[in-house]
Amino acid sequence: MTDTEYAAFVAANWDRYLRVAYLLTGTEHAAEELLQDTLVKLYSRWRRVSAIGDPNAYVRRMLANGNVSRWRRSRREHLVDVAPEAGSAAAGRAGGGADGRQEPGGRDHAVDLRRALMRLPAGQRAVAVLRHFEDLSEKQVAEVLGCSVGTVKSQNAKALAGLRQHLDAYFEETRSLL
Amino acid sequence: MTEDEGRALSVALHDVAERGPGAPAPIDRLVSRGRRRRRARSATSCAVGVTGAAVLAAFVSAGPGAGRSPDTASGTPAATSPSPIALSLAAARTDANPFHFTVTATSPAPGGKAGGQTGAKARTEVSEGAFDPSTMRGYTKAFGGGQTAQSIRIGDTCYSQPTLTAPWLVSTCSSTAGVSLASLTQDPAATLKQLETAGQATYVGRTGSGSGELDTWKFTFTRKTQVTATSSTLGYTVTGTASVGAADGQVSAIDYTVTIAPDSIVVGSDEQISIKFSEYGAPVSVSAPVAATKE
Repeated sequence: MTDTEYAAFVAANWDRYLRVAYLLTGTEHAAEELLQDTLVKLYSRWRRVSAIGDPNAYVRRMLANGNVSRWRRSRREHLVDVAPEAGSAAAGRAGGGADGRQEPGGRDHAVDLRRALMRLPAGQRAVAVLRHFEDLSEKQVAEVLGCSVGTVKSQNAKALAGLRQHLDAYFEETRSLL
Repeated sequence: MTEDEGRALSVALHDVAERGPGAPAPIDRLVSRGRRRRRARSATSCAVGVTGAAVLAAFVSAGPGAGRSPDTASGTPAATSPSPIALSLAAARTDANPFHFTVTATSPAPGGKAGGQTGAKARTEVSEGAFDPSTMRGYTKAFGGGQTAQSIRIGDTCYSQPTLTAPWLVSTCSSTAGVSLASLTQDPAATLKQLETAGQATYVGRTGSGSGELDTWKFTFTRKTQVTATSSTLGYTVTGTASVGAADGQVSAIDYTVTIAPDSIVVGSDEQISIKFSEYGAPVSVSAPVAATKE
């Protein structure tokens, strides 16, 4: 176990997993809390996890599972129509995206997407994030989440259905950019 | 789902994520918390015992052949000697009883195996404690490296003290608190189910007399699973004995050794853990530390 190796791993991957955690939790505070808890657990198991050569798989799994647990504890909050973090600093920044992608009328589809994402069950959200943000294959997602490829496919389809229902406009916009 | 939709979702998620948090990595804080957690984990090795008890209870209660005496296995009624108490019945009767335990964990010396293949000295840590499943109260004291670490569980609240001079920390017990064998899988029920299909127990015989009569069983099984995601192995072998009181039909003591497969990613590398359960039914009394800091 070397603190140097652990510190190097955290330094190299912090930003990336903070974004994953943000997509899973929907708020800056919860994302940092989830990621820190995960990385603290990683530290205590670093020797073994790093010995098998894939701390990334461990972090992804712990993030996804940790968020499912968190979601189960507080899902009532996630079922409200407007995401509770709507007034947060993140939402404030989202209102004027760095890339300027905002409709003339002021509607920001990224905010809509984030809200729609938060309304998905945590399991579907994890599949969507791992599959489309982390760009893992269905088989890799299944291995991370400890489920079958069939489950990943169905969860992914449901996630997309949930997002599609609310975000057709965003998809149209992004399609035009592809 | 079309390919376009997948790509659109990917672009959208990156868009959302890039507008998210951008805090720097608090490496020093993580390392500090990680060290504290590691010390606390060693203090909560009672979880090994608790998990082991649950594993064994499930094993003896439902494994194929488990709890089956020679007589009942053959369908022939005992004619000349009393039938042993079935382990499944004893396990069910003892399931909610408080118990006391001792756990001895042996870790390999650097570069060596737990069995001592090199001249280096293996590290041994002994923990003792007690747990009452009906009230979810228990404690453990771990002795190792010249330090004593303690933990207390009261319901869903866990207290830990890495050393006797350190302040007590309090937190909500997580499902993986003090993870050890429990980390075999995120789904303990699945682990137990797998154990059920792997278990075997053999009746050894009855010893003692009067109210001290004991039926003794021995058992051994190996669990090994390949994890494709990490190309690694989860595995261990359990050997041990269980004693059942002939008078009350309850488990009296369980004594077994868990040997971790050398290439396994369970518990510490190459660890060997000896676990003894005793004093079933003896009350467990714990109280919350007076001043505990939230972890």
